[in-house]
Amino acid sequence: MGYSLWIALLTTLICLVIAYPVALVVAFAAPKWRPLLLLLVILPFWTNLLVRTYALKSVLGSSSPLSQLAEGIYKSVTGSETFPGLILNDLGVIIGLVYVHLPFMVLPLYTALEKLDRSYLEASLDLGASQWRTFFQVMVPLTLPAIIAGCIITFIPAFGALVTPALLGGTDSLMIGSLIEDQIKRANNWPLGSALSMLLVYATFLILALQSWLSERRARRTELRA
Amino acid sequence: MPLTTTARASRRSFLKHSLTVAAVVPLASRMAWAAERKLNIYNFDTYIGPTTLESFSKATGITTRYDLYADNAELFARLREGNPGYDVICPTNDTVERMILADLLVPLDHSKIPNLANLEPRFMDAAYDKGRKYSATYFWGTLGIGYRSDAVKAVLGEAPLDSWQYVYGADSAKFAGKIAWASDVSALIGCGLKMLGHSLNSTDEAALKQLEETLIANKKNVRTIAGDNGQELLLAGEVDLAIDFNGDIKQVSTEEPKITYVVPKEGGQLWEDSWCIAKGAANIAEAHEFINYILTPEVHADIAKEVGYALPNAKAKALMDAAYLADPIIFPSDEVVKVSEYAKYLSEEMSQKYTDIITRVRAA
Amino acid sequence: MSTPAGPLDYTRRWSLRLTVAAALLFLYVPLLVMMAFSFNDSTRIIRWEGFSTRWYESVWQNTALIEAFTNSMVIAFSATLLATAIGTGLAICLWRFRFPGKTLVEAVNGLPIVIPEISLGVAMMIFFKQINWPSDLAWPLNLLPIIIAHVAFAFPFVTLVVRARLTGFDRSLEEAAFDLGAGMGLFLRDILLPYLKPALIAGALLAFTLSLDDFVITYFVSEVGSTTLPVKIYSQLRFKVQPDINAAFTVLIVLTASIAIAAAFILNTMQKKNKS
Repeated sequence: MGYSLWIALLTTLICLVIAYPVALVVAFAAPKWRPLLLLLVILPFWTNLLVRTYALKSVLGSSSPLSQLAEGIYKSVTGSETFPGLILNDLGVIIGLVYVHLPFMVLPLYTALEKLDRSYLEASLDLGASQWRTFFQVMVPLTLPAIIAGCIITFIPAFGALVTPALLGGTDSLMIGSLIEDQIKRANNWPLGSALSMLLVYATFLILALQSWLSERRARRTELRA
Repeated sequence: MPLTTTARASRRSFLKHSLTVAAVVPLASRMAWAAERKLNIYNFDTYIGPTTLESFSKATGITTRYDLYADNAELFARLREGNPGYDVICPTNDTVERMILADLLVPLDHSKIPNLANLEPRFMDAAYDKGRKYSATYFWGTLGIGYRSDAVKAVLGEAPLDSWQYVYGADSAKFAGKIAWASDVSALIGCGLKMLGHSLNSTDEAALKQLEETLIANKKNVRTIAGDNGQELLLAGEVDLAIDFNGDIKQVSTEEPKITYVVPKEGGQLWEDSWCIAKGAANIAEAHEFINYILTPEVHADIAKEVGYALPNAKAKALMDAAYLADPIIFPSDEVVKVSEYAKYLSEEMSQKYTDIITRVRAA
Repeated sequence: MSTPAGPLDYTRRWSLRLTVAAALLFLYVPLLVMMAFSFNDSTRIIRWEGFSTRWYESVWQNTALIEAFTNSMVIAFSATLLATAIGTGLAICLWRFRFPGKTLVEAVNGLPIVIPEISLGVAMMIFFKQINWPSDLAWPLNLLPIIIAHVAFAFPFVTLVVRARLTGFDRSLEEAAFDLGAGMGLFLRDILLPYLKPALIAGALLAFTLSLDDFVITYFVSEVGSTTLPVKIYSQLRFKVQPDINAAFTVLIVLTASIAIAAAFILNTMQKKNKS
């Protein structure tokens, strides 16, 4: 449970950091190129999850150039004799989950950035704020609903992920998703399987209620201003 | 009289259907009622010869549909809620047992499957299906350790890798970081129990406790707990030892001759996939014809050439080449078979206990 | 083109371009590996044994694979269309109206996202059994249960994305439209939907991807004779995933990408002509 939580949180965070600039570039590209760029981002995800994960596995496997490069760097930096590898451990699970869930973050962010009123950004920059400050104090607050939506649809599937941890994880990579599956399929234990599912459900109710409350508050504020 | 009842019943169910989906019925093909003989087969993909179904249709005039499932537990879950229309299925022995207990299978009429006589005597009776009332063996095999012979030789020298100790016990330290366990519950627990000198299906509390402690103590030497991909990890060089089914290891050993396979001297797990007829099947006569056709020596041998598993069919074996029959990965020695066991379907309570042990081992 | 990059020309900032290039590399390297291995003269996907187009020939002859592929496409397109419509409708209702229990509806909307696939799959299987769904419909009607199930788990994703875009909508536009005598239909068609277009595209892409990839739920609700691509792939796992699967996906990706790029260029030149 705690393990799933950490892995999913980290995955969501990394997805957010990678997806934001991607969504930003797509949203600020000339309008005619936007659908094409968006499609390019999502196209890799039309291959089957298993096929995709196997491909990622061969890219990161211990005999791959990438892994050997990482091994060289790791050994020279830490002075350690053994390299834990890029996959079959928690790192593998996180890389895999980020890979699998990235479009879930890019798409909602794009829809928000695309409508962003640029005059706010210009005003902020004109008033002497730095790009970073503009980013954190103008852009992020304005796209907050999309950030929350993106985090929800990234975090929840990552939390319950099954295939990726099974293929890329080590011995400790027991995610709640495979726990539920084991209970239901192998032990035929529907009550415990359902109870575990309910944990997920409660967590979502909480997050969604929070989101709903935030957007209500925002709407009320806009009305007050108007 | 029976005729009228059926007619009324089907009219009633027809009405019910049309009420449920009034909108789609006009397009529905109810013409499929025709006299055409059909058979719905439910099995793994590629677990049959590439032309088997075609030649079956040619020989019998029966049209087939070949649908797919991905594991036995899913097959069970699907059929327990009511058969969606499948006639023949091909579950593994412990699932056959579970399905018999859950009353999900139709007894086989042996008089309609004369080719059953082609099977070796030991497949004519089974602990999980007394008298073979419900199942006809398709293929069988073992679960053991697949390994890279060069890597093992580098560590053990001329000594053979012949014990579960090298994967589950203290000797696993010799291959630290180069071992893949299998996540399959009965593999991990059953074979672990074999190492400790118990039955593969032991329910003894003390034995299970001891096993759990052993597994937790040696988990540090294990690289990963593989799903059904131990053979891929061996081939990719991620691990040197992987617990897996013989058929999987056979496949990769043809690509990498250094990969080979052993069932440890304590004995391993035996498995059997058998054709059964699902309760609720609409085409029972056709299903018998199909099973009989599969057990024809030429047909069964052709499938074996494609699938590469061990044949239970004596007459089909006579048609195979010497390399296949002498392959130690496919056919374990009689001594190994003698000490190995089939996984039994344990009660739901016991399955739960097993699952809990694995969960604790993984979380430790 | 030679004008210096303005402060908001994010597409022309090198730091951003590099980040995006790295992200795309991350996304596409495994895909390129898969494509490369579709030309591999070996039955396995791990090692290179020489160039061959045999898997493409084998896709062409593999009627079962083509059937599964067609089924998946029919399901994905129908489910995407319906899920986008329903998801958008729900998002608009949740945004436009205030009613008691609204938070509850929103939370319930999130349920299909959270409930594990296996629970959802078994629940839907039981549902179709309970309502006596006819099991002997002809193609493509036998795909209906799968389509319905896919719509059910995909539309909440659409709702979330569309909701996120709606939160920033300037309500004065709505008031202005109604003041000028526009009805609800006109307002939706001329103002709201054009504004939502990017979210509709994003939501539809999301729904399509989810539908194309689903195995567990599909497995449990599928009728006899409605094998989809993921069901086929997962069922092959017991032996090995056949290499012609790689070839099939390479065809899908290359075809989609070429059509999209061609369409973008054609639109582009048409627009240029219109301007001149």
